[in-house]
Amino acid sequence: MDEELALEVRGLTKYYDEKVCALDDIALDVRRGEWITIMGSSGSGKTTFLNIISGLDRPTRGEVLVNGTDIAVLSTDELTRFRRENIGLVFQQFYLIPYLNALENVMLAQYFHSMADEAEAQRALEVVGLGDRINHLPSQLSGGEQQRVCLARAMINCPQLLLADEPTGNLDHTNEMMVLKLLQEHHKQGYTIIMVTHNPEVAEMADRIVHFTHGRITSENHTLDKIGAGEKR
Amino acid sequence: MWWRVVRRSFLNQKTRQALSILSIVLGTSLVAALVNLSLDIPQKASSQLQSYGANILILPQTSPAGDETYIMEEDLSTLEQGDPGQSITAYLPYLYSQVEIAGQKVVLAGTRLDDVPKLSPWWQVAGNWPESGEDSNKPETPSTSSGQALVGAQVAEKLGLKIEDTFTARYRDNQQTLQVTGIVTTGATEENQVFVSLKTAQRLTGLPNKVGLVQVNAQTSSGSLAQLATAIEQQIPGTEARVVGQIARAERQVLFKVQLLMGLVAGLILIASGLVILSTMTTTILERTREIGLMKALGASNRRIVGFYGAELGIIALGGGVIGYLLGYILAQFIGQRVFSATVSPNGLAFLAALAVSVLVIFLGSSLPLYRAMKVDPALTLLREE
Repeated sequence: MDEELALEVRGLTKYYDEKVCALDDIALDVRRGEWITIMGSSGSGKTTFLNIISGLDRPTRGEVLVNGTDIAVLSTDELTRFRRENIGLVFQQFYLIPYLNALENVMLAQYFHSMADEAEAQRALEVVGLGDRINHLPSQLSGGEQQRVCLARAMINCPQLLLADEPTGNLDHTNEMMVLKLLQEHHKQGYTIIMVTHNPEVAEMADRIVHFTHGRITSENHTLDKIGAGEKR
Repeated sequence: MWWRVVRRSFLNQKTRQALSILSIVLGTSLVAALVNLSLDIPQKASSQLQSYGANILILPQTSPAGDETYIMEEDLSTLEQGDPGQSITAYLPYLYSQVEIAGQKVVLAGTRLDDVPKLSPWWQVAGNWPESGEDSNKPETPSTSSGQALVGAQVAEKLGLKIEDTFTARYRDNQQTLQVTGIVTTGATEENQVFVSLKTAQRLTGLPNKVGLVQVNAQTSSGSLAQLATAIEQQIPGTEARVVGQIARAERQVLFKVQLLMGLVAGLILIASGLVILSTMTTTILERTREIGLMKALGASNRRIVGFYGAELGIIALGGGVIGYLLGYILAQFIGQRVFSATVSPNGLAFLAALAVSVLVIFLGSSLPLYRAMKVDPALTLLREE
């Protein structure tokens, strides 16, 4: 086990209904503090990959080590605990609880993790520029604002891995840049980020781009020499 | 935080939750009314029955030769003494005979008319009761000896008698002129009888100091009534004392029928309530599958998820139980007063029953939807493969 690695994936294979191969013998290492982007066409297996490394789905074969823990062998309850303690999730569709305001949506993640702290949740929303919108319901927020609430919620428990599935897919350019700037700031603070995107410009923000095709990794490119730019967490 | 989520979620679906509570209230109110009536009415009815109407009849033992037998009036004084006297609130000696009035045979009942309202307060008299005095120990006066009578409504109709009319009652060779002071309506056989003072009846029939039957009202439980009857038989030799249970039995039958009807209706409504909860919760869980998936993705355990929904259900159960109990009490009060003429007291057991039924219906109705909520797969609900 390499202590520098936040994620080690070995021989990861996923079949649906024992016939459809979604992931085929994937091997991937992600270093602590690294930001990688996964790209690929629809059905290439990138979301399945994200599901498995976040503990939402199980592999058919292979090892998935997050900070040295093989999550492929964990029980359902252990996976739930693993998620709340190690993973921050950001979705393309935002997914906020509609009847809770921005502050309460962030506090909910705290509550599941350990204990809700209103002041800390408020600070997290101030960091994403929503200090004056904490009492607004999701329906009263714009798409960009909702995604920023999701970012605050994903980061509130300081996760080992921040997994973002098309986080800017539903945003206009202005809001897209705002969210990417926030991701950059988190990256600078040393967070490990794995992001799925279709947008090459967005992908360029990462340290490394991994291409998936038909369930396999077909190429990996370092965007710039960014590795090590962020503080290691 | 738990309460914040529960409160927001509950208020977010106010109409649906109100309908759920209403469906529970319908069932629990009937159960609460049923329990309240079942616990309160038999007791009240029993004490009410004891407060009016005879619950013991004293009859002379029949003669082996088949002769008419009577109880001596002076023996009845023992009913006011000793152990029986403490339980007996009132007694009425009766002397029945068949007399002829205007060529028709009518039952003449001689009794202490002053005491009749104590045992039969439901008698309705149009006009006046015959003047008192004759049956007391005072000497007879001309007004009382002239004879006054209370005529049953049926007899009055049959003979065309009206208040202040006079008629002659014949018994064998004796006869007595009587004046109608009132017409009595009881809804029972008394309407076919003519009531006169005991002394008048004894004089007409030539049976001085004799009575044919004594109605006794005693304030005691049904078990003690039998003991009292035995004691009376020992105190007044040559008599047979019988416990009267007819009215009590009739009341119990009415109560049983009301209970049965309410029980059936409550059962059906509770089944319907359970189905409403099942349907509401299934819809809720289906509508909120994504929300549940999100919570699970964020790391919520099944216990936490069930905790949120369980609390909402708990509010419905508590609301349904409390409101159901209050409405049930009002319903019990209404039935108690209309059917049994008795006020129903609030009962803690009825509240517990309403609450227990509410919780049970909620539990049965929501178990399956909650099980489904626990089985929600966050990967399927949130992160779909494109």
